[in-house]
Formats: sequence, structure tokens, C-alpha cells
Amino acid sequence: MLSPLWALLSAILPAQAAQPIFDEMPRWSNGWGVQVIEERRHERALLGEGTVLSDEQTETLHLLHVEGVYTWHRSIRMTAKLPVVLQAERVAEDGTTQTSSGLGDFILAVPLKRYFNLDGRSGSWTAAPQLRIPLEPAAGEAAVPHTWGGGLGLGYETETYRYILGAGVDAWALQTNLPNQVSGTVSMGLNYVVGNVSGHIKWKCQGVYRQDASATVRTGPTFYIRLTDRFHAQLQGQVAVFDRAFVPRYGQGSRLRGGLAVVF
Amino acid sequence: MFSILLMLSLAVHADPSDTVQPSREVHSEASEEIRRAAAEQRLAETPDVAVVYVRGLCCLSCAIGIRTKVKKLDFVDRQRLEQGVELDVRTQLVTVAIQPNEPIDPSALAVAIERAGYEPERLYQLQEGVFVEEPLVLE
Repeated sequence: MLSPLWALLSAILPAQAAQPIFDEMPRWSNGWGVQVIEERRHERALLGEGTVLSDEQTETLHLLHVEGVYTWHRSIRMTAKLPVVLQAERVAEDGTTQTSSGLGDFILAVPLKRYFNLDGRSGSWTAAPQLRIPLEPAAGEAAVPHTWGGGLGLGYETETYRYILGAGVDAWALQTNLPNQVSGTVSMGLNYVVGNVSGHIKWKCQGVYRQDASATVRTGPTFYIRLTDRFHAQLQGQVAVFDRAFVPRYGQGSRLRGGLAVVF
Repeated sequence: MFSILLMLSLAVHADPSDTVQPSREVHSEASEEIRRAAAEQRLAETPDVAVVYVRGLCCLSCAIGIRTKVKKLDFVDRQRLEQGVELDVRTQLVTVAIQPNEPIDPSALAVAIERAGYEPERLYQLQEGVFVEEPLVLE
């Protein structure tokens, strides 16, 4: 049986279908940017065998996502993501606390986009082949499991100056015994312009199904703000409204992500 | 959730400070007439500018590239507006500040907008006080 540690951290990395910068930019040729997202997760139970194994065993994660993007032309860009586990703290059944940390795997993607510009509405279709590159050899009890992986993301988004709507699916096949998974995301919201700042407020729902038959549905708001052309920020919260696992892992938790980005 | 979104929408857009308020109707698309009227108004109010209809200009973040690309053109006066370029997502109009005595290069303008990820459609100008519009064509 996989250890809870192994199984949990497998979920950290490839489920993040969003692409920098905040799923918004850069659409322009030779545009590039970097974003740093700090994330805090609290998983409030140990799941397994289709039920809650223990609600006294919890996990709190403090993550940093460093991500970058370069756009050659509006139809092709490259993104890179590196998640860093600053601290993973687990409370075991006997009440003892275990901590760990480490680098995640590097994820490269080449989102291919087909933009459409209509009168009053714009949007894009996306196909994004993705590659997960282990930065260290796989080890059973490593703080972060490392593995090669291949993924494909398909997405659609459209917006008017008032509304924004997006949907996408992401599938990952992983080389080691980490479960392959597929996820779907739907988001909708409003664009706003207030003085010199603008952005959007949207609601996001994400469902993840893993090969080990575990599934998670998370939902929550995203608040994005364009502070200037150069600086951008995002705040995102999510809670699991459905979480089921057959192989032990921590779950039924909440996530809070805050990010800053700079684009050129 | 939808009611919350609707209320937020009304709050955010209750007092739009756009160049023209043709009606209280909620339309994301500006009609050709409304767009032309907005362009005329903009040209009348602001000296030495040209106005461009950029199809698909709906999001100020996505459209940063328009400012990034257009401001680099020789005839653009970066000291005025926002680095020489003002974006209006409601009418899909881009106002470009022009250097005094510098001729506009429509072809370069069209290429800059295309490289920003959008479709350049029409250029509106005042020529000797007369409102003129012409298609912007990528060459």
C-alpha cells in the first residue's frame, strides 16, 4: 500500500491546469512573465477505502509555485512551473507531528492557442502538451515524489468586457506508480474596471479523477487584479466539496493561494 | 451564485466612465454607429490622436500587448495618454496619441495590433477637421 505521504503529494503537482500568467497573459508576440504563488493547504482528514479513516490525522502544506511564460506568437507559447514544498506538516494517529519539505517536479508545457476576435467578444481554444520532469530520482518516501509524466490539456475560454467563461480538461499519465489522473475545470465570472485597475472575479469548480478511483471536487472564488500593465495579483480560495479515496491520502481540505506576477 | 455575480456586475458597471453612453442597455458589443460616434467624440475632444477599432478588445489585461507594441511606433507620443495609448474595452476603441507633424503609418499600426493578438479593423482620424475612417489592412 502506498504511504499517505506518497499518495498525498502526488496530487500537488499536475492537477494545476491553470497556465501563467493567471490564465490571462501574455497574448502578444515576444511577451513574457513570471509569477510567484504562495499556497496554503489544510487537509482535515485521512481518507481511504472509500471513507474517512481518521479525522484526527491532518496535513498542512505551505507551497510556493514559481512559474514563467514566454509567448512567441499568440498561437504558441511555453510555460514552466516549479512547485516547492516549503513545509509539509502531518499529524499522525498517535498525535506526533512529521514535517518535510522539498522541490517538486518541473513542468513544461507548450500551449498552442487559436484565438478568435469577434465584435465584442474574444477568446481562445487551447491544446497544451505537458511534460513533467523529475528533478531527482524517484524515491518511495521522498518529501515530494518524483516522476516523469506526460500530460495534455484542452481548454476553451471566452470573454466580453463584462463576463468571462472558461472550461478545460487535463489528463496526466505518470511513469511511476502514482495514479494517472484526469481533471476538468469550469470557471465563470465578471470583469471589472475601477479607475486605473481592472481584473475579474470568478468562481471556479474543479473535479479530479485518479486512476486509483479516488476523486475530488473543489470549488471557490478567484479574484484577479491588474495593478498596472506590469504588475498583477491574484487571490484564490477553494474547498473540497467532495473527496473520496481508496488508497490512503489526506483530503477534504481547503486551499488558499495568493500570487504576484510581472509581465513584459 | 448567479445572483451574487449579477449584483456584482451591476455594482461594477453602474457608472461606466467610457467615452460614450449610448443607452442603458446591457450590450457587450458596441454597434458600428455607437463606435463611430464614440470615435468622433474622442477625436473632437482630444487633439492629435487617432482612434482604432480593434476587434476583440474586451479585456484590459489581455490587451496590454496593444500598448506594448503600439507605443514603440515612431509616430506615437508616449508622453500623452497612457504611454501614448488608451484602451476602451467597451467600444473596442484604441486611442493613439500622435506626435505633432508625424504622419501615421497605418500599415505599421495594423502590424503592431496583429502582433498584440488582435484584429485591426478601422482607423478613424480628423483630416483638416473632417472625420475620416479607413480600413486597417495587414500587408
